Amino acid sequence: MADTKISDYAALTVPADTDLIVTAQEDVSNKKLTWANLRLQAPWMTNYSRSKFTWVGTNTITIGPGAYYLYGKGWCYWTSNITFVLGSGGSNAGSSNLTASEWHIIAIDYSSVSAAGVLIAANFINRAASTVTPAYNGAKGGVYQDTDDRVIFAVKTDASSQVMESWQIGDLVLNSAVTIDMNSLDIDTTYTDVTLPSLPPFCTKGFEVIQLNYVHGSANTYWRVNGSTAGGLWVAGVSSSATRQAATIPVRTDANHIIEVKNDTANSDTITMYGVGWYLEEGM
Amino acid sequence: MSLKTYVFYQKASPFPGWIRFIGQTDISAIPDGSTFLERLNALKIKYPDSELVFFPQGTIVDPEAMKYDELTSSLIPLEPTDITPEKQKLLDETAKTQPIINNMPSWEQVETAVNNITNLADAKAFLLKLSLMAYWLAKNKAD
Repeated sequence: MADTKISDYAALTVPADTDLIVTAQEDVSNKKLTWANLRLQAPWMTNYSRSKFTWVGTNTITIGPGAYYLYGKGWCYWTSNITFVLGSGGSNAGSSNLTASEWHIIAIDYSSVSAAGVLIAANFINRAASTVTPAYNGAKGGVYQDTDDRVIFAVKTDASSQVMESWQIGDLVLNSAVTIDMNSLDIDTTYTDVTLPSLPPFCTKGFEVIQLNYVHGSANTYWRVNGSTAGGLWVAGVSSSATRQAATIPVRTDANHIIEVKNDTANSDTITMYGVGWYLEEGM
Repeated sequence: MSLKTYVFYQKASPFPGWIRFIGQTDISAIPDGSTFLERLNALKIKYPDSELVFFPQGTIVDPEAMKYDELTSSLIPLEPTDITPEKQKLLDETAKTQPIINNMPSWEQVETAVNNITNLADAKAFLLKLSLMAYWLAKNKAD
């Protein structure tokens, strides 16, 4: 393809990686930049435009209009709501059947996408967390699983294998039911690891209620990322006249969903933690 | 990660098998001085006569309805004589407030008593009863 000035585009066009952008009206060679280089230099501009995800029912979600760059294929997008039915009998026969009390990861199914362009419901797939290892891939610019499937969302099932309701607010997803991540445990002055089972596998950012309960003696609670040597951040304090304090805060975990908490006083006071939400990772 | 449900119980007091702490933890975590399992083991030293057992993840444990039975290594229902500290708090609260409730006249009785005041002696008697009730409420206990 010949060099193309931006002003030459009459309508929105999906460029090829090797197409050139000319940053001036004149065709000056040192002002040329390939789309591939632009994507590498500014992934935040060209990597995705997140969909709005809406719970519809016990096996169905709506994937709102969006656009994601699928590594190896190019730009994939859709301009109206897509109703995605989970399970092998749903929108994609390759999906995992819904299992009880498990995360199911929603991804763009690489093998079903023939080329960059408009996607339909059958181009998405849900996979049980136990069958995949979704992880952020810097080279591909997003969270990927099953090698080339780009992860865009996750849902949790209940004990009856039904998708639990959740509410998305930007990159925050609130659960419709809390998960007890730690139940009234006596923590003293040594930082203690707390695993947050409330988070989906790829997630390292949780939205937690941390509650300090007075049992005997005043205390303050602090938290930090697992493995940190920092002093930590204060989150709650109690005394005989204020016997319970809870704070709802975003927390950053390590890759194993662990944060550390401690009190500043060794007594019988206990800490309870509830998982109430999680954040979509960078690139999702 | 190998999540298990833990039950931290007391062997004798307030009754054998009283469950002090419950929750989930990863028992495969490598000890580094701060793992959850290390904390639970430290609590065994902090609370004498206590023990720690594990059950499969998702096991439902209700300390107000269950206790750990060492003979069968299982969770069994509480006996009527097993009074948990939480239940004891409620019993203590009831013991404190019941006399006040028993001595509290109905509003109809209060209204009649006030309407029946015709002299200073009646008024004094009523004020005394009123003061006694206010005193009990402030003290949160009947004499």
